[in-house]
Amino acid sequence: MSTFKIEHRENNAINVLDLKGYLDAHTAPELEKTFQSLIDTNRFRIIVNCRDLTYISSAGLGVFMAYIEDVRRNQGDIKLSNMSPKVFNVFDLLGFPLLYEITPDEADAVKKFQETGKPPKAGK
Amino acid sequence: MTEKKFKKDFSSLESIDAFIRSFAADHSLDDEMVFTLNFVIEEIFTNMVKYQPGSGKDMSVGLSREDDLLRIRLVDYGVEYFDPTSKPPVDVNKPLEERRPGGLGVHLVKMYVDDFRYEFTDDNSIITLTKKLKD
Repeated sequence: MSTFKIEHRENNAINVLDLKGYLDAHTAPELEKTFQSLIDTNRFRIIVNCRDLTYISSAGLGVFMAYIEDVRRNQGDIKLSNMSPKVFNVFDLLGFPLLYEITPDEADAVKKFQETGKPPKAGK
Repeated sequence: MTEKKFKKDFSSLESIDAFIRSFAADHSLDDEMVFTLNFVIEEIFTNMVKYQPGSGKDMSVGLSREDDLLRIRLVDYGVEYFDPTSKPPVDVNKPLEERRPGGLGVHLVKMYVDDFRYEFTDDNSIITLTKKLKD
């Protein structure tokens, strides 16, 4: 039951991680490795799609905390999307919606990246 | 109380989940409660693995339901005194740079359950959680 899977793809030049299953103390190191390899290859625009994430514990939350500063320092961000109410509740209880951008859909997260990634328009 | 022993290692989380699911099926608990049980048990279990790894003994997880009350008991055998209930609460309004990962789990457990107790007897750490079921 306690399986976990990460798939990496790109959406409009943004790195999307699809998480599936259980993100717990046992599986959290896999997500750590994935974030680390993205950072090592200078990929700092990251969306974590949580549509198929059925469970998260504080070990999972800790992974997001461990990498966010690194990513933001490099003008990137980790945005989260498509969370189930149960998973969102865990983030919410710790006040994470104030610290992370959490969007209902992946497309919203892509839009947010595109808005902030654009250079300011001429004449403004 | 339905009780089972598990190896004190993160790889036990999968079999703990199976134990919880089987208990939930026998006691008509819904998916939300399975999530809560997995969550609180993992947080306590993880603390035991991280902070008292050396006992070499299996620990036990027990579950019981009496009417609307769920009781969850974790026993860590042959260890030193370690009371997680005494940890200070996490300030959830703090900005990111002032946050540290530690203590989040215990903070969340307190929010999910109605009662959180620690006892220490004969070198055993016993955590008892009580959760009221919604009707």
